[in-house]
Amino acid sequence: MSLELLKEVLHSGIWGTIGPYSQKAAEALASHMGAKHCLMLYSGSMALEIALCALGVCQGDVVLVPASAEKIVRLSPNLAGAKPIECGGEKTGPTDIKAALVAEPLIKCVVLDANVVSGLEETSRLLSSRGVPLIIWAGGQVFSGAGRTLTKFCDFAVYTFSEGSDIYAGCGGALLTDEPRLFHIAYALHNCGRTLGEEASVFVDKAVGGNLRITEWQAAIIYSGLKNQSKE
Amino acid sequence: MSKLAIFGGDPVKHKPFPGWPVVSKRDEAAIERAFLSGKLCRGEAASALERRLEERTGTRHAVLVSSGTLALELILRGLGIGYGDEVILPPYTFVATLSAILFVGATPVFADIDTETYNICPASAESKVTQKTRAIIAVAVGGCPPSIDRLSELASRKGIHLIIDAAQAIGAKWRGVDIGAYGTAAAFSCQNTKNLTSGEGGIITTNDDALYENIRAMLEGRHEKYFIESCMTELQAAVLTSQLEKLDGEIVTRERMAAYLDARLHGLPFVRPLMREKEVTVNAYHLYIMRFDSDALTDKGLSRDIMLRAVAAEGVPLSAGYLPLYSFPFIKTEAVRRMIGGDIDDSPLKNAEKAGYYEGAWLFQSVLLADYEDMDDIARALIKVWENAGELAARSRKEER
Ligand SMILES: Cc1ncc(COP(=O)(O)O)c(C=O)c1O
Repeated sequence: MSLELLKEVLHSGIWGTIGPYSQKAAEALASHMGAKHCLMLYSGSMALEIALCALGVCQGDVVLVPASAEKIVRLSPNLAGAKPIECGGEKTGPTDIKAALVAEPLIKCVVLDANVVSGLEETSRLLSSRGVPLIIWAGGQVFSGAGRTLTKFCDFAVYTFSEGSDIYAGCGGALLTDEPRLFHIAYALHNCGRTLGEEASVFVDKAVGGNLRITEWQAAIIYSGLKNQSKE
Repeated sequence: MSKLAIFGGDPVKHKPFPGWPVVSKRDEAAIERAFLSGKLCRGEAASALERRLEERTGTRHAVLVSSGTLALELILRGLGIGYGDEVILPPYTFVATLSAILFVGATPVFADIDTETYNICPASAESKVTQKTRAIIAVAVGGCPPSIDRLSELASRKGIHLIIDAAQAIGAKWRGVDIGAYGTAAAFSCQNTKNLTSGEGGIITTNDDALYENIRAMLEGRHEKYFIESCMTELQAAVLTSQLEKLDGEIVTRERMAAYLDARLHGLPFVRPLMREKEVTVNAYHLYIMRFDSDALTDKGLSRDIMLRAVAAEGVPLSAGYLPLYSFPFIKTEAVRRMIGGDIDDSPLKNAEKAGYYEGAWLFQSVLLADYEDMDDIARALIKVWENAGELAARSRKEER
């Protein structure tokens, strides 16, 4: 099915800049994960970067990351100009987070890795009582593992579609959130400052944003992967 | 009844201009091959294309990435430019030139453009250099190379980097050499509208081995600070390779049509094409930019924007170009202040104001892939509107009231 969709993309002439498959993939993933909003991005690292920026993380901030998480997660705060501080051991749980919050009271945000986390519900409650936002990296676990319904516990759940992921699109990322406000901030940040529906505009002057958009090629493969799974 | 199409008259042009991108069977075969290879990233299509681009541009390194914006961002990060550093740029460019600087936390400093070329003015750039300046990003606006010699000399004299934003300039040449070979590095865009496209995409070219190694390390997760998954997928690389086959032919066509249109506009009292410096041996013409004479228009009670509406109604998609970036409200937001730890100087710059608000007008590159009659139609539409300036001015004034 993917190859047919890729040919359709080719002949449509819309290969990027948020075409129909970027939107369809976002809708399909949001519905599969039970999240209110989904934003597709070019890659997982870019999804992490945009999540951090959308939560207001910037220069000089401190962000907590799990010591045993993938490198992409551990280094992600640097992309926003923030400083990563590692915590936890093989797994990161509420006790580790509590201790880190005492040692480093000015923590701006926490990034957790769903693969090396314990006591997620408790951690989530703890952080929201302290007003510290939480991003959860679910990696490539679109169908497997702890992937689904993560947005209940965090501000952003982040997925990747690179090698080893449940759906492989060469590269690709997704941000899921139940917060419309955060979704709109992330949308502008990833698309040159444009608001949803302003895709063709050359003059984007209200918000800051880069170009971290997914291509229609990647989006078509991801969409096809999600549809195939839902048929099964 | 009025002659002008904007008031119900018969438009000059009925047939639409060519669309973009142009798709062929070769593209389809390329996509199929890339998909069936099973390796959708860091595969053969991308590395083969990188070697080809190195050859084409005459540079030691070409790197395929996800977008033109990321290409600029990777160059800046790779050079260690960030928080506390200043980067000079022109205000007459797409917002991405600015956002790449902001995303790395550096402070953008605007230098004015040249009235004749709309590219960054080297003298103005020089006046903006301070102790904190680390780089100048010179944009090849519309695909026409900026003053490479003077900018290179300035950069080396001041010990700063010259980065070429060649997002719109694939194939452009200065003194017979590809634009990608100048400066510390150049960034190209392969976004959907660009002259060489894969929907999204970017190309970095550089002769700086250390920079290249840093960029590769960031892309491959070997860098100590940044892991940026921005490698171009095989699908994009495959389409790009296939599209590259027709680029040189299209460059010849665009230059030929542009020269013809230049000649047709020659001598008109209200509009003229932008100039190109004599060292520009190939203008990539992502845009055909023309300048209205705002004084001549004002004398007739007209403005650029009224002209644009009237010409567009004649079937010629002439549009207003960039507004100066320093006037964008977002640069004054708290979010941006926090990104760079201070304010951006938003003082108006004379030539950028004139180009942005009163004089600049664009035709998109695919218009230049049409034929001579279509160029005649463009000139005829402009002349027709000018000949009916009296009516246009009177009715526009009335509407305004
Ligand atoms: C001058 C300039 N710089 C940078 C960019 C950014 O390129 P991309 O859209 O591929 O991110 C563009 C794209 O329109 C551009 O025109």
